Amino acid sequence: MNDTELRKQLELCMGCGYCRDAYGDEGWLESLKTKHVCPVREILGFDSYTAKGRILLGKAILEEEIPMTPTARSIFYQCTLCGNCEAHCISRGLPFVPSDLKVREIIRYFREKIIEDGLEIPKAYQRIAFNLKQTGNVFGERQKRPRMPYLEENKDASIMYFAGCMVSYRESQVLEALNNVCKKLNLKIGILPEELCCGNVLLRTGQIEVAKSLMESNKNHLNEAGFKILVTSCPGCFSALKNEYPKYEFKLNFEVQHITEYFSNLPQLKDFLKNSKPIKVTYHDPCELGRLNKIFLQPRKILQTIPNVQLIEPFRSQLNAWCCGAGAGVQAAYPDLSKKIAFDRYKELKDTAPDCIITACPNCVHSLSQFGQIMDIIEIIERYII
Amino acid sequence: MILTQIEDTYHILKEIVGVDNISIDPAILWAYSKDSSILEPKLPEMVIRPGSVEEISNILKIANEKKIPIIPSGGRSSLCGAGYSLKGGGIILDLTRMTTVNITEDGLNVEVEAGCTFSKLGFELKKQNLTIGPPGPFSAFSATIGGGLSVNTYSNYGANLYGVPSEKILSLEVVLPSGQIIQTGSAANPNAKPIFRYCNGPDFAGLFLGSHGTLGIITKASFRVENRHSEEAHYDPVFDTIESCTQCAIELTKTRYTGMIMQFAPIFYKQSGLDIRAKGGGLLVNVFGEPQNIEYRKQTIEKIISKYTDMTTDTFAPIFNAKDYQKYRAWCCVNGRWAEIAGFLPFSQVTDYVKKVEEFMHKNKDLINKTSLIPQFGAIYTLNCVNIFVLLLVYDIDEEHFEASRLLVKNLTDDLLDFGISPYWIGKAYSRAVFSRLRPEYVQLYQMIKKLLDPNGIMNPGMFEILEVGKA
Repeated sequence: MNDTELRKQLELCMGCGYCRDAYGDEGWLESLKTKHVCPVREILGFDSYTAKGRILLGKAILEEEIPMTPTARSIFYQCTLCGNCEAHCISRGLPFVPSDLKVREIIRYFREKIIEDGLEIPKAYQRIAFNLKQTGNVFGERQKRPRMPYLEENKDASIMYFAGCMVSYRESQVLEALNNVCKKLNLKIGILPEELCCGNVLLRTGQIEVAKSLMESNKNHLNEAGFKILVTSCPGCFSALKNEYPKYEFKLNFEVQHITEYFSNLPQLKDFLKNSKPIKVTYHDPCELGRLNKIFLQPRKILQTIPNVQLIEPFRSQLNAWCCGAGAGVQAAYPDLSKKIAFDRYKELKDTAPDCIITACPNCVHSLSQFGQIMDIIEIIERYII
Repeated sequence: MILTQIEDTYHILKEIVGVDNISIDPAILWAYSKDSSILEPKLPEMVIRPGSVEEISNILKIANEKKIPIIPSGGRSSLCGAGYSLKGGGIILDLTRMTTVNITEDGLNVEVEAGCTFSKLGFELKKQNLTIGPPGPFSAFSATIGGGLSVNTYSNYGANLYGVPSEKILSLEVVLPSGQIIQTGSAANPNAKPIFRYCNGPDFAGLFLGSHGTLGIITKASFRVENRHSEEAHYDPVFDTIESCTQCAIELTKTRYTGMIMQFAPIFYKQSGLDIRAKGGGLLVNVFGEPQNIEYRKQTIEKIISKYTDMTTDTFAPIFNAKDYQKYRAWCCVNGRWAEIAGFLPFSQVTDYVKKVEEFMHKNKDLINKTSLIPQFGAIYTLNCVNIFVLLLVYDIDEEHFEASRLLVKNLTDDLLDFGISPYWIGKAYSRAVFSRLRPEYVQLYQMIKKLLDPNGIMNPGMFEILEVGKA
């Protein structure tokens, strides 16, 4: 977004405050089944942390009414980019009619500007960039991955799995589950021997130049591998590869799919799922998968394919879903804030009294698991596969 | 305040509300610099998020002693210039931490803290199949009870059957500028519940309703509640003449079967390209009922409508069935800035009002064409009168055009006030135009009350010029 576009964007906000609260269920507003809108504002309290607050601050900074102080920077950084404010924004329409007001882009603009102007960024972001330069993953760990014999056998397959940093280094049970599911279903899905971070966290924390060099390496590395479809469990990797790479003109010569898209279109899946005793599950919509990429139905279709699984929706789901608190670098830089948001969401998911809480994002699994067991969708498939 | 005074005050008030609920950081303060009106932003010096009436009382005692301006604030979603520091400086009291809702056991009343939004109140009441009737303004998601009552907010939905939110008030809890906490109506007796408004002497609730935070801070309100209707039907007839449209609306209102009647001027349909047949404009009619009576009510309403027109559109009903937002977007899209001029008229003046606004549009055609301003106007029928509205949607951020738009808003406001509308909200945006037309005795009474309750003039300075120290 350039300066002119930004100024136009800032003027689109009519200041109604629907980015703060939107208790639905009243009269003709019934379909807005939510309560509060901004998870960060609900923890930190001041309206400065709503989209409206950030927009007013952004305008003041552009008009040089106020410099980009450390507090101003923290206001732009303490946002998970969950997009709930955009989903409920009334500018140019009613909620759920796509708004022209791109709050996430506005916040990203200011994050990029902070870097451009050479201002200090949270140490955690500096560390992530350092780690990526040194090791190619956000955790700064030596390149390793649990051995996945079946996936590794298929290194020449036309479908390749992109594990991403979180699955490779923190939530490796997701990879193990995928390995086992693919083996049982005899799916020809491979995994590359080496992988670099997709760069999503850099893009979302404004570190564009480091991200570009990573994207360039990934483009060359992945395009050379010659597969046709890349599937990933991580909505961050999915979104970066599918949306951000083309935006920055890193053309990829393969299709990018989220794992839920792939499995929901797999006709033989239902034939391999065994009957079991009835269980109740609830599903947490990851923000980047749901609100950002509109993948709501596919994970639900998979869950409904499993015999005797009853899906109970949490109070806020799909477009209204509450964030897990991990997004856009918030978990790394502001762990306390992130944990409080995650707890709010965990409580709400538990309110459905489920036997299992399911999601389709390793970052959400990581965040929500602080309070109890959370399963990635591939793990529940693994549990019920014959 | 000078810098040292701000810091001193900050340290004192921090002890009352806790460090997490107070800020003098400009980066935090900018979020509190504006409402939804077309007025320019102004920065306060401090924002506090009190958690209780006692905290507010203690804050006001200190502010009054130090003569520091206090600006109570809720959702800041108003279109009239309210809820933020209109002169710059001072302390914003953001009441949105105070959101408790208590429904009485008998399900007939509800007590709600001022920072609760109208939509949260509706949400809690709905759990018991209750409603206050008018569910709040168009900005009900973010507009708070305290803010709404302070500007005498309106509610389109339900107004035709229940009136406006302020009419449902039983009792208010208010903190005076001195820090004293008062209860109005029955709750003035500490042994009594807040269940009745007109007792224990004068109706003091009425003093604070619509006072725009100039006399004290509303911290709690008790409303009378109703059972929610379970059935609803929608009609959107259009008419050959404005007269027939208005007459139909009046007759429908008298049935008391309708929860909402909105009348839209012919120009509205032309601009939207929705129905060129509507030479006399059209209505959106919502019928409220229960399973046992809805069919009879529908027949009655249909019979009345058929006396005046045989033309209907499918323009609005689906929207209010919450099924088709796209159509709503087609006519209600807003883009950054808008102004609304609204106020009450008797039913008998609706036709003249529509003609008057059309005349104004025609007379100012060149100026309107020069700007990106798109006027849309109509009327909402309440129990015994109509609330007319003119929405001026400003589609251009060009400052020159925007200034021209402001001029149009001002001129139209003047014209309509001279015509006799009584605006329910005033705010900074319309205060000069409104108060200059009121009877001097009325303004003097307001000034005397202000002087009595707020001798240091700390409450919401800049809101109404007539109340400024020296003028009062």
